[in-house]
Amino acid sequence: MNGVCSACSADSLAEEQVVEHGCGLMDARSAFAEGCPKCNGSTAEETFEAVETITRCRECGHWQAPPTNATGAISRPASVSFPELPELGQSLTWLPSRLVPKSERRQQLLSSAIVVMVLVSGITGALVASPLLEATPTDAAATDPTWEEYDSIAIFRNDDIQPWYETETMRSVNQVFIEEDVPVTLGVIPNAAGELPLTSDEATCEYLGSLQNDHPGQFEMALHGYTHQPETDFYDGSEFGGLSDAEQADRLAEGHRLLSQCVEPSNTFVPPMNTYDDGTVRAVAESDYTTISGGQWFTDEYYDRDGMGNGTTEFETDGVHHVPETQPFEDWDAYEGGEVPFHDTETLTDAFDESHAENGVYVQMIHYQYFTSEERLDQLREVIRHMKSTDDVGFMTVGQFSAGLENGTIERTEDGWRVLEPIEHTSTQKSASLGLEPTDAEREAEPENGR
Amino acid sequence: MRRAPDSFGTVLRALGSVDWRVILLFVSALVPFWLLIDVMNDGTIYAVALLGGILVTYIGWSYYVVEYKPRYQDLLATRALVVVLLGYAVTIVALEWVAPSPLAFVHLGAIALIFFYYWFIALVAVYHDLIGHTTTGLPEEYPSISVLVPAYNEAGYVGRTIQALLNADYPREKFEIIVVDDGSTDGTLAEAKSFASEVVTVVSKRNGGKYSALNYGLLFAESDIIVTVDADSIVGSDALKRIVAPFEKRENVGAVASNVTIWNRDSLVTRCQQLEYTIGVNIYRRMLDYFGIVLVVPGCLGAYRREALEDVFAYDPETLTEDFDLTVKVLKSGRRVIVSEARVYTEAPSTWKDLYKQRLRWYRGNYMTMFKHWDLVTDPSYGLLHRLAIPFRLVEMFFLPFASWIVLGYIVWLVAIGFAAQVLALLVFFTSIVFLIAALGVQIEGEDWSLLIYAPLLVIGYKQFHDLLNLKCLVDVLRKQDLSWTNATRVEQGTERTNSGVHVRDQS
Repeated sequence: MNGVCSACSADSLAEEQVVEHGCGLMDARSAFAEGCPKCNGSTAEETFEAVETITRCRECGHWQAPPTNATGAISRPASVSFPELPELGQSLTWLPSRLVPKSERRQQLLSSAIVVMVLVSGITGALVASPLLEATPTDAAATDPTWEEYDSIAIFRNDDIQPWYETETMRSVNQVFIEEDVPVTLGVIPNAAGELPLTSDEATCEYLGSLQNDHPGQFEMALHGYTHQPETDFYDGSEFGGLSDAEQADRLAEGHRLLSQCVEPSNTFVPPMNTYDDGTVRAVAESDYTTISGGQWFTDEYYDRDGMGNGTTEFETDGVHHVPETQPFEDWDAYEGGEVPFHDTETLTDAFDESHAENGVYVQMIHYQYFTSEERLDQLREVIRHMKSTDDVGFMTVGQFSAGLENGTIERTEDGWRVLEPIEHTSTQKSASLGLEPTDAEREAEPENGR
Repeated sequence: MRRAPDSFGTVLRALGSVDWRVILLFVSALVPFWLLIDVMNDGTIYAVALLGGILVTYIGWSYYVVEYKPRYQDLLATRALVVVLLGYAVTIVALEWVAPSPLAFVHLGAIALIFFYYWFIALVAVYHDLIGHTTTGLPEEYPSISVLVPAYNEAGYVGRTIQALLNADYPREKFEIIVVDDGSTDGTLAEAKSFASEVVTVVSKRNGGKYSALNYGLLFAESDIIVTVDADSIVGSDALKRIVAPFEKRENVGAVASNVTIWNRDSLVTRCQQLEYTIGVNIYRRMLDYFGIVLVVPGCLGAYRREALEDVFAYDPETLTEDFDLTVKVLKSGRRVIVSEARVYTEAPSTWKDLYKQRLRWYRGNYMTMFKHWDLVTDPSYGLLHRLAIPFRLVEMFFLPFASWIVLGYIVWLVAIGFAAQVLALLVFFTSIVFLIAALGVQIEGEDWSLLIYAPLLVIGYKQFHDLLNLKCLVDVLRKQDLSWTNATRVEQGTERTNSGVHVRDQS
């Protein structure tokens, strides 16, 4: 071999076969004499692939690059053209040059302004979207509608909600329902004694509104008469029963107007003293209301339903649902002045158990203003817990029950009830508090006669 | 009177030097995260908080034992983390924080990842950018370097790559370029040979694949620092100086990565890729750089200590991503792999079809490399590589592609049942978070702000394309198909390179 090593100038160049072993190691064939240093695998000839034969210095191991045999003419390119490369590190170079200010200070200001703009748009996006997220799809998915079977229905109706009166007690009673997670229909008097419009007590108004917003579907705002004063002797005193149709319609409309100024009223009308007549039903039928919740003692007599049993307290006339209370909390028979006595817990739970056994609709009426002590609140809790601990009881508001019957999401079965859950909020409550348009699914489930 | 603007300018410059914009962008994400917490139900909040606690403890412990108490290195490593996470899953179901359904867990996993990504990965990245820079500054004396340029059918490109290297600012006497023609069938060899000189050596061999071209080139390399450059890349003018700088500063650095920038930004596809690079490089990789466990030294431009290469017998034939494979081997040898500020420009695939082909190779190669080095998953002696880098990579490669499609299916179902408004809100919301993360990357990099308009595609569209491709590649690799290189059409060649003739050898 002629020539000297270009690295060490030694005169010991020799041809060497460069091979690639099966494991990928590439070296002179002689380097594998004692096995493959990389994989220790077989070094049989077939495990090698010849790469090239190259001149190497035996002295220093330097490989001499062999002359390459390129085909075609070899000529240095006159010049190589480079594409336009993006400039980085100066945050404004991507802008058209006419928009970039000359002075460094202005450039700094502009780039800072861009950062702020980006930041504001990112945050704005999040802010705009987040209210819509409150009805998170995961929650919605978790509440994919399914039919639930119940033996009986249980409803609470808390009457006489009114401004300026025992407001602390009102909150305490509602708090029991919140803590127990049980829905309740509130009978709200729009113009107590004809002197106290609901709107005059802003704090109570706001509080009732917050119940609707913070606990969607749990608190139904039902119209409880207009003044709650007896106007006739109908059944020993009634605000509506016995009045002319026109007068009843006026009271209903005026009451609704006042209530609407404070909360989102439902479609339920709760006549004071639990009494009403055919004129009331006509007024209700002509209005946007769909449901009347009086008292069972009254409907049994007036509609001649006595003896039909606890299982059939709800009924329909002239397109209006009647869902009367079936059991008062207060024991007026034992009233001798002073504090209004309650039934004992056993009486109440027995009444519920009886209704449950008959697959009935148990409507427990209470009046918040009498729950003035912790013991009395405890008794309410006790009754609720008894009902909750009973198997297969469907809890809902009057409005939800009536709407469910109307749109077919609640059906009576041979041995109880079938309810499509989750139960929709009553029509006027819907998702307005979320700032959302009702979705198609909501619209479908919405009763046709929604307000 | 003239002093006022000057001092105003000084104040601005001072503010500019701490880069308050990075801090501002980072902190601004508090708003969407706070809103997210606000709409999450209590169970999810507790579950995410508990998971965060577990992960922070795990990372803290990992850092502590690896850096300060290596004798406890085997204690509470990845295996323990898996056991703890299983216990965690049972606990959150038992406490009724999360429903026991796959969807609920994917949902929780997705939320937890968003939190983790931002409040750990991005936080470390910001810290790294503002304070922890290990690679800033240039050395006083430069080492000799050998630049390897493997080329297969790169006519029209290789000359430009060589010229850019020759134009680069580096002491000429310490610099050699070795172009390896891997049996090209076009004018690559002639084009490269036209540059042959004392500095540029051109060698040719029969076609054997990129790994073999690099191994061949190594035979001729004289220097202790080996730089590799793809034959279609254009190095920045100070790239060579930047890429060798970290070797001088830290003894145990085995390899140094560069920053890849796309120069052909004239289409949606390439701009999406640039945004993807900007986020990946500036957020995710900075975190790994902080710990010296960067997983890929890109083939476009990378540098290795020669002894680090020789200790691991250089390039192997078994995978399609020889750069990822080699980097992992260097890491496994106990050396650090970090990032430099060297910049290299490359041409990205400009059509969806070409992007598909490129990523088919990348993702198949990723899975092959991961399976090849599966011992990293089980062996705690690999330190933070085992404890940190590999778990992230596993989540990225094996959880996210599935989760992404489950979430997409769920979204479609929600739209179908009438939750279009909420789904839109959800997209806007998550886009705003990705937007802020992307903005952080753009600000750190000094990139083009207009790239941000592609952020929504990184939430839906572009992302699912990659996730689906990942799933396909996983299946391909598991089925051990004949996996050959899939090459994209080159913009400046206009024709498709049909077959590089490289097939992966059967590992058995």
